[in-house]
Amino acid sequence: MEPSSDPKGNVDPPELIAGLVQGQAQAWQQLCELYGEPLYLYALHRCDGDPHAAEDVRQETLLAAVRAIDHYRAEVPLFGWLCGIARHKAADWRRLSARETRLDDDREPTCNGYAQNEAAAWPLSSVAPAPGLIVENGETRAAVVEALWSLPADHRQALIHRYLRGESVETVSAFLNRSYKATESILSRARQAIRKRIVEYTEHVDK
Amino acid sequence: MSINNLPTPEDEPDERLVEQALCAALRPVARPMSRAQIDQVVALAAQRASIFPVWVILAWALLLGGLAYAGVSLPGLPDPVRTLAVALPASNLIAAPIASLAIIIRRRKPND
Repeated sequence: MEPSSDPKGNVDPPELIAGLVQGQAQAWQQLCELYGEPLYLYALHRCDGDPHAAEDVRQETLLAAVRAIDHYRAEVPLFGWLCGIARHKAADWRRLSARETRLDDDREPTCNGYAQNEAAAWPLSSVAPAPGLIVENGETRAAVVEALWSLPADHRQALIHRYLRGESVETVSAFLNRSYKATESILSRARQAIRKRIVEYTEHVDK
Repeated sequence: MSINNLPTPEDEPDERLVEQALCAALRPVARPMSRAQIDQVVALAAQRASIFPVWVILAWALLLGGLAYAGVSLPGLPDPVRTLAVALPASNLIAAPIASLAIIIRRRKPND
């Protein structure tokens, strides 16, 4: 179930965060169901498309989140906080992977995970990214995943329905139960948020 | 709704960029978490929730130490050290040394 954004624009319901801090099983299960898949995607982009590494990083991230939840401050969305942990876990994996590669010079090069996934590509849209775009960078893709799941649920759903499923604004507005103008406004704000994140990330990399 | 939030012709490059960014980021098929993976997370959370907070244990230890130093006995118990008997098992490791030390200090005082 998607969390509904409250009128103040908070992404995560306060009762979910309170439940996590108190160690409630239901809250942690809800977190896994909400963010398990996007966290996998984030880790996948950070781990060079290796699906096994992505699963390991996701699990290690969630276990580390359990241990560190007392330190979580709701200044950033919960998913952004999880991505911060996952970033470090993925960096650890990359270091370990690089060391193993150096030790095992005779090993045959493995198939890139992105190449493996290519056959399953574009399940939702026929629009492929142009070569050379900054979104071809795995870390930028991860930043897009982080930005998308840090948006309020209605903003995220609007973007996915409009740009991945290729639905018209009228269809999206009917899905969201909003007026056409309101839906256009949501799409505009959501686009700006994603674009801002990409630009921020690109500037961060350039520095 | 602000008029500034309405889409303009300048939004077109944004739309293309966002479309490409989303397609690239969400292209791989996400794997859902297995039941075992979720259970592992939930079990760790439950385990951590059941642990006594450190400040509770320390407060309990200081209270017992204070009682022992003051020579307070619980009704029916002859020695202050028996105060330890009411300590929770989890906090005994900290409470016992503090209370014992308090008793030793108190007994060494000449005019006590």
